Formats: sequence, structure tokens, C-alpha cells
Amino acid sequence: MADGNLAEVKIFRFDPSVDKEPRYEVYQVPYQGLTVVDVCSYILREQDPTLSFRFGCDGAGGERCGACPILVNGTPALGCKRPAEKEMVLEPHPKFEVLKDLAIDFSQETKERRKIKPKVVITVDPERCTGCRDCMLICPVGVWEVQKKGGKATAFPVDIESCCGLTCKQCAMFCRYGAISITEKSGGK
Amino acid sequence: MAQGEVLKTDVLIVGGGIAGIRAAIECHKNGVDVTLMTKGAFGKDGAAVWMAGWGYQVALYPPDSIEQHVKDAIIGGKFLNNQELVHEFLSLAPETVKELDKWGMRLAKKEGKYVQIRMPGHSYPRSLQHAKLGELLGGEYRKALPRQVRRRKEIRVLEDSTVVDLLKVNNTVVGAVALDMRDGELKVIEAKTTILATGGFMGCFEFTTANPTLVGDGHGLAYRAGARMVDMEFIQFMPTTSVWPLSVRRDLFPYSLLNILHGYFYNKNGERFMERYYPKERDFATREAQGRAIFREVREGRGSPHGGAYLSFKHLPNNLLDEVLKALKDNPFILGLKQDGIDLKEDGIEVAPAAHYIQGGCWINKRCETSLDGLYAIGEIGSGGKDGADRLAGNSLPFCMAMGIVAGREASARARKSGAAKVSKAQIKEVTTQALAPLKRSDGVRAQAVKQTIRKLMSTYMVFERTGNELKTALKEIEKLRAEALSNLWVKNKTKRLNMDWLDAVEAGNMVDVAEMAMRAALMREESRGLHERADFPEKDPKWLKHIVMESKEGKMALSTEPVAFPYLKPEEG
Repeated sequence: MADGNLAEVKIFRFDPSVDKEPRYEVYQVPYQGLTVVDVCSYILREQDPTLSFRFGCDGAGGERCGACPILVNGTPALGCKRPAEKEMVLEPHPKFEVLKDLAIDFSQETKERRKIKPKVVITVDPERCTGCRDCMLICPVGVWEVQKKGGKATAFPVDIESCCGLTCKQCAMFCRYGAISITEKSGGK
Repeated sequence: MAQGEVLKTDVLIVGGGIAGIRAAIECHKNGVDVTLMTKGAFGKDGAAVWMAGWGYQVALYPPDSIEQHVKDAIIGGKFLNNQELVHEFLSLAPETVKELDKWGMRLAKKEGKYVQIRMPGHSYPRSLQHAKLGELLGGEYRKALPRQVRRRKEIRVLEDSTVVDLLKVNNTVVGAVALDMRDGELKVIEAKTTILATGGFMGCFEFTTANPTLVGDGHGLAYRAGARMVDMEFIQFMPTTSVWPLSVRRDLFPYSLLNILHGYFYNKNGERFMERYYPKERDFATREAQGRAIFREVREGRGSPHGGAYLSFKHLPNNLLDEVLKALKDNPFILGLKQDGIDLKEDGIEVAPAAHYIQGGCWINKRCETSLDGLYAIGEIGSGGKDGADRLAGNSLPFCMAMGIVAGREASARARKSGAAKVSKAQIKEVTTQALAPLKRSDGVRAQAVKQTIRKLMSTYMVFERTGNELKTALKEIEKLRAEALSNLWVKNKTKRLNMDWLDAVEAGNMVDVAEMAMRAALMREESRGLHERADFPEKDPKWLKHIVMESKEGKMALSTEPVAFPYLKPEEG
């Protein structure tokens, strides 16, 4: 077990061009006051230069570019906005094929998806939603679809399992009709 | 692209931000073969796609006019602007708004007219607004622009690729060697024309409002290829960016809060230090003054734990703050504070100046041509001195769009006229050998250490109150890095795919070039003007109303000056 100031981080490692099977590696790293992306950068710099992951804006300007979806302890999150924890398992976001380790290929969706239990509740106010597709275009992981039901186009969160929850919240932020709300299920993190 | 294969294209665009995307669309319109290269995932990476928040300035309705907009930009730029460029690009701004609207940007309109607000330095309300009032426009670009590229299937997008060096024959750029992170191979691209749209080098600072991967790759490439660079000493900082708590790190929102509520600044001793620097204006001094004071407090050891100052609103009545917090209940900044247990009514937010925008880049003409044939530069790196000594809020985006149009058109026309690019085998070998060298070493200096040193030096000596002596000290450090570290860079990771260690080595080389250019220019300009502030030369000096231009000559950085022309506004009129 790591000492009090270090976290124990278990990371999914897989290079499809070389490895037959994925494996997990454990790192002991500082975590207090760091995000998940910070922790990955630390590992790359100080401990294991072979680690690959994605990052982009790092939360710059208060917006989200959506480059860093990672599965943290089984829950999808944007790594730049997710505080690191004392015990963490980091895995690639399950919706997309792995390029290497935690880095995913946004242009390739996985065929067989690992089941995860959604920790968020997304509601759409059908009165307010106009089916304008803004949420669909802004979502980094393709949670949304606009469907025509009863003659009116409305947005539906068809892939709630992929949602990065409160670390992202771009759909709710950019819905100019205020039709979307995202909350986290109580008890979940 | 498989290994060893050479990609032939008409126009190679390096960088997938707003300028790069707009140029790609223009090239596509012109029917040439176009390749758009981005360092990370397309649409999520790039120069400005997401960080552009508040302003898109465009003169649309009388009494406002393009002429007035140009004049404002020149006055804001302290007359150092390349006025011809300002006029050329701002004239195209109204056209770009129509496009953005057509492409699905949600812009606020009222009675058939765009809603515009006035921002500091502008004579009229000019800044377009998000249809959802108070929302930033950043996400709108992210939503609308990448989609326009995806729709045009003929545009070839190379993701996860970084140019390591440009290829040249005599004075003509004929392509590039790029590192394709996806398979860890160096690829040769033969391009009839090349457009640099790599953004600024805010990532050369420890704390920035921009993507930290923007480290000035294009600046390094262009300089090494022999292009003339200009205005490298002018760097804009966002003085009150939040450093803490974690969930709102790098957020610009404290600046808006400050405008709404007028907070007080405290250092770690609980002292309202603004009084000491600005006894009259105190906490309400200008943005730059606030940034300068915070910077000095931190430097002299009176900063907050995360290197900033405390911004507090505790002096305001609780019920007033309740009202404000209620109105902002969905704001991500306010939500983040709540998540981290910060109560605005009690606690301070830690804020510090963050690198925000780079005024310096390639010397260009109004066709966006650099001093090298076949090489164009747009957006932040396409400086040409257009921003002068300071940039007006919200002017960079119309510049990006307009320059994308111009460079796309010009580069396509040139590509259509030229025969196939001929690259030199010898140069390819030289560039590849050099790029592979750090990978072949089994010991040496890690690139991350070089990057950290550069960021430390830039954040200490290239912010406010620069001095000649300090800059000389910093330059000695840079020279040491160049001599001892760059020639001995060691990529410890020998695996191929997504080798981030190798990418760091490529970036480190560019960062050393960038830091040296910025520091040499800052040392040469012995005056204070706009964003460039010398503690040892605190006054504006009329004899420095000229650009500092630099280029690589026989492996040395040669500095010279270039006069400013005043076709639209002469200094005495302003």
C-alpha cells in the first residue's frame, strides 16, 4: 500500500500493434491537488515514458475541448476536470477503440462495448427542446441523438453510459433553451 | 499513409484551429488537393477552436465602419500595427460573420440585426454574442467549424501528426517531414504550398489560458527554415485567471466576476496590496495593473499557496451575493467552486496572470505570404505585426477567419500554377537523422526537463517588469540548454505508437527557439510599449516606433528593425 501522500494508480496498458492482451500496471504517485491528466503527465515524466494518453485544453478558459475522456474507477470522466483519488483504476473510455493505453481513436467506435453502470441522470424538457442538435454536436463522446417522435424532433440521451457527467456538462451549458439538466446519482461519484 | 510512402499534396495546412480550418475550406472551394494536419484529435485539438470566448469584433452597422475598427485597432496597438494588414483583414470580417451564421453558429439577433456589445478599446458595440445570453462563443466554433471540414470529404485530415521540420529548396518551402504519432514513423509530405496555422506559444509558460500543447511549433519551424519573424516580445496575459481550486483551474470567469462585483485582492499576509501600488485606483486599477501587482506579490514571496493572489467578495452583503449566485447557478465556474467547497461569501479564489495570446510570428504581407516562397502563415503565427504592441479584445478571431480565406485562396492559386514539388533527398535524410537522434541515444537529457526549464524562465523573466539584466541571465540559460541539452536529448521511450516522450523532444526544440526569439526581442526593445514592459525603461520611446525582426543567418539569430508605415492613421492624430 502506498504511503499517505501517494496514490496507488492502476492503469490499463495495451498497444494493439504489439500486444496480444491488455495488462494493468500499478504506479505510486502524488495525487493531492492534481487532476487525472496531471497524474498521467507525472507518470510520463517521472516514472514511465511509455505511457500514452490524450489531453487538450486542460480546462483552459473554463471550457472543455473533450480530448481526454477516461474511465476513472469505472466511471467516464474528462481527465482534466476529474480530481485524482487515493486509489484509482484508469482505463480508456469504452466507446472507442484503443490506440494505445488510455488514448482512444475518436473515429473508431468499439463493436462490443463493456457494460458500465451510468452514474448520471440526464433529463430533457420536451417542451423546451427544439431538436436543434446543439447537444449532439458538442458532446465529445456521442451521447445524444435527435429523433422525430410524434412529429416533433427532440434530443434523446441514447448513450448515457458514455456520458462524462459533471466533469463535462457541455450539452447543458450550450443548450440555449435550458432544456437539459445533468445530475449525478446520489451515492455515486 | 504507410511507412516510406511520400504524400503529395497541393496545400499542406499545419494546425487545425479556426484559421487552419477556414483555410482548408477555402482550398477545397478552389478545388485543390488539401491536407490538414493536427497535433492531436481533429476538432478537439488545434489553435483556438475552444478557447475563444468573448469576442468576435466586426463593424457591421453605421455609424460604425471598417475604417473606425481599423483605427481602434491601431490606437490599441500603440501605432506599432502593420496598418495595411489590419485594413485588409478587417475588411473581410463582415463576410466571415455571414459564413459563421450559415454554418450554424448560434448568434444573438434582434429585429434582423446581430446583437453586439461594446468591449474595452472599441469605439462602438462590435462584439457578437451567443444566442444564449452570457454564454461564451467558444463552444460554437467547436461545434460549427470541424463539421464543415468533415462534410467536405476531399479534405485529407492527418490527426496526431506534428511537423518536425519544413523542407526547402533554395528559398522555397516544398513540404515537410512529420512525425505520425499513430505509427511512430516519420513521413515525408511534398506540398506545392504550405500554410502554418499553429497558433501561439502560450504553452511556453507555466500558467496559460490556452491549450498547454501550443508551444510555438510553427514559430520554431518557420525560424529554422529561415523565415523572418516579427514582434516576438509582445505577449498578452490574462491577469486574473483562477489557479485554484482545482476544478476551476485556468478558468477565465474571475475576470467576469470582477467586472460584475468588484472584488478585493489580498496577498498571503492578508494585506490589500493593490493600495500599495495604486493608492488611487486600488483594486479597481486596469487589468494590466492588477496582473502586474499580483505578479510582483508572487515573485516577492507573498503569493497564495498556488502562486496567485486571493480575490475576495466577502466585503459585499450576503443577500447581494446570494442574488448573484442564484443567477449563476448553472455556471460551471460557480459549480466548480461549490464542488471544491469554496464559498464565495466567505472564501477567496486564487487568481494569477496567465499567458493568453501571442502577438509575434512570421513576417507576412497582405496575401499572408511569409518571406519564404510557398510558405504562408495565418492566425496567431501569421503576425506580420498586425496586432502592434497590444491586441484589442476580440480582434483575433475575425483575423483568423479572414486570413484563412486569404491564405487558402492565395495558396491554392500558387499551387495550381506550380509543378510538382521536388524535395531534396539529402535534406530529408538530414532532418530524419536529426529527429531520430534522441530516440537512438541510451542516455542524455529528458525533453520534459528542458520544457520545464523553459516554462520557468519564461514565467519568471518574460511576464511583467522585464529587465535587461534578468533577460541576459535568462538568455545565458537558454544558450546552455541549446548547447548541452538539445544536442543531447534523450527519448527514453523506444516504443512506436503514440510515443509522447518523442513528441516532447520535438516540442522542446521548438520551445528553445521560441524562448530565445522572445527574450532577444525583449532585450533589444529598450522602452515600454503596450504589452512589452521594461522596468529599466519604463517610458514609451518614439524612436522605438518600429518592429524588431529576426531571422536565422548562418546558425545565428540576426536581429534588425523594420519601420512602421501609417497609411490609415498617423500617430499625432491618435
